[in-house]
Parts: sequence; structure tokens; C-alpha cells
Amino acid sequence: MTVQNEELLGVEKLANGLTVIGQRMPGVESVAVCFHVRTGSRDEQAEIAGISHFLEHMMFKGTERRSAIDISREFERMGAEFNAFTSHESTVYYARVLGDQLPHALDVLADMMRPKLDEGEFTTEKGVIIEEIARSEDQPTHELFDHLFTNFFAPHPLGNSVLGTPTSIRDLPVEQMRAYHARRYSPNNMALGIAGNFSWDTLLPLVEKQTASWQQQDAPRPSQPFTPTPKTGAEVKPKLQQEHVAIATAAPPQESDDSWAADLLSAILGDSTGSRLYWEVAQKGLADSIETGYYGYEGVGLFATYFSASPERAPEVLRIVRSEMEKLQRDGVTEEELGRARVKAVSDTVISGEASHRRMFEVADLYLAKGRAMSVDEIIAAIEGVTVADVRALLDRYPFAESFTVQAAGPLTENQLIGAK
Amino acid sequence: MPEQHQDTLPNGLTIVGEKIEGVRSLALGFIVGAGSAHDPEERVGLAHFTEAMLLEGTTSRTSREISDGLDNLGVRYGTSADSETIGLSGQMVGTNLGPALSILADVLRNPAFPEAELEQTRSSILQELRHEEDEPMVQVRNVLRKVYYKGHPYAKRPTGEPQAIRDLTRHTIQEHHARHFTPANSVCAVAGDFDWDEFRSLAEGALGAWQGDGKAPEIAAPNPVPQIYIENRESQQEHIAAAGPSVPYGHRDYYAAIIAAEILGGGMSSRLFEEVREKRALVYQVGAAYSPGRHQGSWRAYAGTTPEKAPQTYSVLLHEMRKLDADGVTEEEFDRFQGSVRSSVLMSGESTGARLRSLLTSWWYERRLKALAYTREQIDAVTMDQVNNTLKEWPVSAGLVLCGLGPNTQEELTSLDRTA
Repeated sequence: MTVQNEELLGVEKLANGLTVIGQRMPGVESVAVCFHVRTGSRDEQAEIAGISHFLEHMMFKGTERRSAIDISREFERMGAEFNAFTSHESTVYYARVLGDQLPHALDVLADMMRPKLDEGEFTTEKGVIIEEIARSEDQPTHELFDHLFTNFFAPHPLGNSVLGTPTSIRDLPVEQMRAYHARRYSPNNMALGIAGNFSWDTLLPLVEKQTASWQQQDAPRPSQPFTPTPKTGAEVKPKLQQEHVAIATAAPPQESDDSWAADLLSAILGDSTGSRLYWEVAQKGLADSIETGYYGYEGVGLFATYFSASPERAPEVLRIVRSEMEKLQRDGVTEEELGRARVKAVSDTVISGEASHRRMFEVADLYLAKGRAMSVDEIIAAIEGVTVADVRALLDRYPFAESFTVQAAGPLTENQLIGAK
Repeated sequence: MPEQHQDTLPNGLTIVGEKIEGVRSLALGFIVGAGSAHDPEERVGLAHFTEAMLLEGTTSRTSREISDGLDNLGVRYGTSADSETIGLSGQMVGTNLGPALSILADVLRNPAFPEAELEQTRSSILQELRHEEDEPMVQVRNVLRKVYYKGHPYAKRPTGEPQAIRDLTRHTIQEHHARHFTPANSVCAVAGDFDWDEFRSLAEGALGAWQGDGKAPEIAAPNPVPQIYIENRESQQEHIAAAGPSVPYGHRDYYAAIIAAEILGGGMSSRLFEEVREKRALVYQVGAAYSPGRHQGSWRAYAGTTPEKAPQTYSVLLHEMRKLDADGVTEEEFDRFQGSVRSSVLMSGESTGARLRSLLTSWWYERRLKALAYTREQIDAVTMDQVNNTLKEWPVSAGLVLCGLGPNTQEELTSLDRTA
């Protein structure tokens, strides 16, 4: 063990390849712990589309030692907040408990990582996944972002849908899932993130013991080239009242030092309050909402902007988004607005650094992105270090116009939305 | 142990606070008794329109000055409106309390409601109402509210009715503000890293000269009429939402009701999750909760399912509710959920934002502060018999208003439910 017990922030690589990243938070009673698996829809081929997310459901359905009901009842009995989520490139399982429950929570969570994948449960759960797909179709923004990713990234695998399709789910054999689990849930492809009330001396031997039988194997993610180009896609849905529009442009990957500038640039352009798009679109009443976010992934990244506007207003709003991006591209950002964006980001970092579960996600995500654990103060220093010149350089490396991709759903045809002069 | 404080300024404004050790942030907020329940029948949306205009400029600050001022302090801020109240709050690093309070107090007391911004906000709200129509899960809550509270002020849609939003004038909004935004009708609260004496004097400075004595009129108890209400629309899923009467805020069985609802439908080991999702795969989302209310709270349940599975979902949902009423809860379930309710209350104590909401609502609805230690004692004091007696007195399956939004007709939805 290389981490000293008094250290607040530490990283430890176990013999089986599992990395443990932790932040002790003296004075906090709760502790949040997660297994972060480096696998998601980008690691799927077409015939197994949706398998990462489906597997996430199956991980709650029982192990050699516990039934599905045992898992959820045990968590509930220890007063845990627990859940899991699957994204394009990671699958995360977490629990937050009061400190005295940590050994028990870890035991259940670690046990879950070696599931039974029973065929009967597998067949039943397909029904739940198909309901989840139907539900996502009743949420226009959810479906829109799925289609935006496909349009922007395909044929790069980040364009793969997280949920898959009812057909890909129905046709999936259980052997495929067992093989996928064996391939992807190797300890060297996983990290344990923890933040809050714990001690290293107790934690590390416990994790070592609970994961001792896990076998390592290669879990490669081949890097694939991605060259973004401007595209458009519009799905005509006459029943929708509003036109829902999402815009993607290229951005730095998560591992890049530019990611801090990218966060601030997206806030200057499209934070939900006080940003350029807020003043030009939302505050003027042209749309009911507009927001831009930066999303960094391994090797690639994007800025995504979403707005919802009435069909009469939507073409105008889209033109404004384009022209605000042109203006930013041409003139860059001012000291004053960068200063405000920095203060907001620092304040957010301080506030999320006080909550065990938010700090746990942050410390694990940043480790996977940057290859090192970052303290709250180091994050603040990275944010405060971003200059106007850094943002200028970022804009030059990722010009909005070269990748401006539009995806829409609503009453308008593509020509009505984009062709209108 | 966190310290709690409460005081009333000479002008009648209540200020409350809870100091939380070990944090650098704080949450600061107000609620004002000016929510949609007080909207006149022909002007439903007045409260929301007033709320949306608050940040659009004061007599001494433009909207941009408000926004830049708060951003420069790193304040994450926003407004909200529900049936009873309009809220204004911000979360920040503790050292910025003074300057943030002076901007928020100005926003609350002196909004200018400028004409140009009024038209922009009108357009934005009309679009927001259309957007709600595109989200069946939001729409089903709107439908349930309308039917459950029919004839009661809570029936008014908090985001407003389109025609009223089109017609509202600056004069009406100014009047609404003048009548309801008074010290006696408001609470100001802070939770996190601050000093009470300093906060008290900052509040005196920023809010001490605030005048007016208007108070929101009493709202009577709701009287829902049990029924099934179907609204057909094209959607992938049938969205089923239900509500029935339960204990009010401050009732001796308040925590027993929370535990009962959690056993029925809170989280992955609840009865509804196990029976409707885990065993039968009828849904992705299903759940139940206790929703507190003045005079009367309510039991709430929701399930979303594809139309072919809707009759079975409906029948299992009702079967589980009736079974809970008939047989009560088991010792094992009671222990499990009493522990999880206690733990979630204690963990929420670590968030300044969550503590602010708790301070504001317990003061607004119960006129008292509830320290975490007190809440914990109350939860620990609940017994299984008390939960079962609460269910006898307020059965979850009696007095239900059930709404279905989606493709199914009432005959289809209820076809497998023998007792309907």
C-alpha cells in the first residue's frame, strides 16, 4: 500500500489491476463509493447494440450469493442511496451510505460486479428495457440527443445509441452478454471511486479481499479516427407543439488540457443564465430555453446546444445560434465575461466538493480523463489558469463552422428549418 | 450539531437560519405567499408571470446588472413558483452573503416590470406551456392536478393558462406584487457557513425598511372526488398517475405516512418495484410517495407502460394498494424502510440547498423549525403499529383519483381490474 492513512486524496493500484481513487472528507458523515467501468455503447457492435446498458440492469439481478431482491433489500436496509447509469463510454454503479455501513455497501457492490446473468431473469428484463426505450420516445429531448450523437459521430462508435433498439434487445442471446461481461468487466478496465467518511487503512484491505478472485484480461478500446463535418437531420413530428433543436460542434477530448477552457467557453456561449445565448435568445423570449454544454470523451469531444422554440421562431433562433458562434469565432471572449465564467465554475466546484456523492463522481471522472487524482484546489487552479488567449487557441483548433451539425424534431421539415432565408 | 435560529424583524419579516459545520458554501432564499392558488380564475398564470419578471430589472438595476452582479459573486440563482408560494434563492461561497443578499433583496422588493421585458417574458412563457404539452410525463401531472383539486385553488396550473398569459397587463402584475410581496407574507432563510448575528444585521439593512402588511388569505382544505379520468393522446406509453388523501403537514403520523409510502413505492425494494417491474417487467418507471400538504396531504403513485401492458399494470398497481390497506406492512419491511428514511434525512443534512428547502417549507407550512436531531427522533419513534393504523385511517386505495394519459380507453385500462 502506497497511500498513507492520513492522506486526504490518494490513488492505489491493486495487484489485480483495479485502481482505487479516493477523497477523504473529514467532518462529513456519509461516504459515497462507485465502481466505474470503462465500457459503454461505443464498445458495442451493431448486433449487440444496447448491451452495455442492458447489462447494467442485469447487474442488479443476482449473484451466486444474492438474489435480485436480496441486493435491493440489503441496500435499502443499510439506508443506501444507490443506482447505476450507462453512458456512451462508461457504466457506473454507486451507493451512498453513512460511514458505519461502508463495509457492507462495498460487499454488496463488489459482489454485484460478478453477476449470475441468469437466463430467465435476462428474458424477463428485456421487457423492462423495451419499456425504457418507449419512455425515452415520449421525451423529445432524450431521443433528440440520441439522434444528434448518431448524426454527428457515425461511423465513429460514439454515434452508437445507449439504449439500442427493441429489435437488438429482443434478439440478444444471453451468451453474448456473458461474453461481453467477461471481456469488459476486467479489474484493469475498472476503477473504484470513493469520497467522504472512510479511512485508507480499513478500505484498501477490504477492497483487496472482495475483489481478490477477479481475473485480469485485455479490455481494449481501439482508437478510431473522427473527422467532424457539418450535417443536418430533421425528423418531422407534426404532433409536437415546439420545434426541438440540438446543435453539435467539435470540442477537445476529455484528456486534453483544453478541456478547462472548453468548459468556460461553453458557459460563456450558452450557460442557462447570463450567457450570450441567454441574452440573445432566452431573455428575448424567442425560445423557452437554450443551453450549451461541453462533453469530453476519450479521444473526441463536442459542444452540444439545445433549444425549444415555436415552429415560427425556430429558424430565426437557429440563425442566431450560428451567428453567435461566428461572432465568438471571430472576436473571441472578453476578459470580463471569462472572469464571470471562472467565478461561476469555481463556486460550482466548491459546492460540489462538499457533497460526498458529487465529489466521488468528480474524482473518479477526472482520474479517468486526466490520469491523476485532482484535489478541489487543483481543479480551482486549473479553472483560474484559463486565459483569454487559451480560449482563442481553443477556438482556432475547433472552429464551430467546420463541424456545425443540426438535429431537429418537431413540425418543421429540414427545408423549413434550415432553408428559410 | 447544527444550530438553528429564528427571529422576526420589526417590519414583520421572519428570518430563519441553520449553521452547518464543515462547509464553505451557503444557500440563501426567500418564499413569498403569492403562488398560483391566489391567481384570480380568469388570470391563472399571474403568479408565474410575476415570478418570471422578478429578474428582469429593478428600479435601480437592469436585468443585465442583476445577472452580472450575481455571476460576479459566483451565485447560482433562480426563481420558482408553486401553488402557495413564489421562491427566489441562490447558492454561493459563504463569504459573498452580504452583497448577494443586497441584490436578491432588491429583486424581491423593487422589481420594475419593464414593458419591453414583459413582452419577451410573455412569449417565453407561452412557449414553455407548449413545451409542457410535448412531455407526456409533465402533462399527466397537470391533468392529475386539475382533476384532483377540481374547484380548489390548487387546481390552477402553476405555469399558467395560455389565454391568461396573453391577456395579463403590467398593471395587474404590479398590483399582484404590491399586494402579496410584503414582509409579513414572506420568509427569508439561510443554511450553511454564516454567522447568525451578522446575517441578522445584513437582513435588517437590506430588508428592514421593506413595508406592507398584506398577507395571503387562508386556503381551505381540498375535497377531491374519487374517479377515473382518461385523456387520450398519441404517445408510446400510457402514463398512469394517481393521488388520494393522506395526513397533512405537522400531523402526528407524518413520518408514519412517509414510511408507509416508501414501503409501497419508494425505491428498488418497494412492493410496486418488485411486483410491477422486477417480477412482471411491465414498466421501466413505477413508484409511490407521500406528498405533504396544508390541511391534507396526499398519496401519489405513477406508472408508465406500453398500451398492451397497461391493463395488467393498472390491475397490479391497484391490487398492491388494496393489499397494503388490507394486510398492513410487515415487521421486516417496516425496519428496512424506517432505516432508509432516517439515513436519507441525515444525508440530506449535508447539503446546504436541501437544508434551505427544509427550513423554508417547515416554516411556511408548520410555522416551526425542525432540527435534524428532532426529525431523527420523530422517525425513530414511529412504530409498525402506527404505520398500520395510519393506513387504516388514510387507506392508500380509498378516495383515489386515477388519471390515464395515452392511447388506452377507460374500458381497456380497467379491463383486468375485477373490482372496478
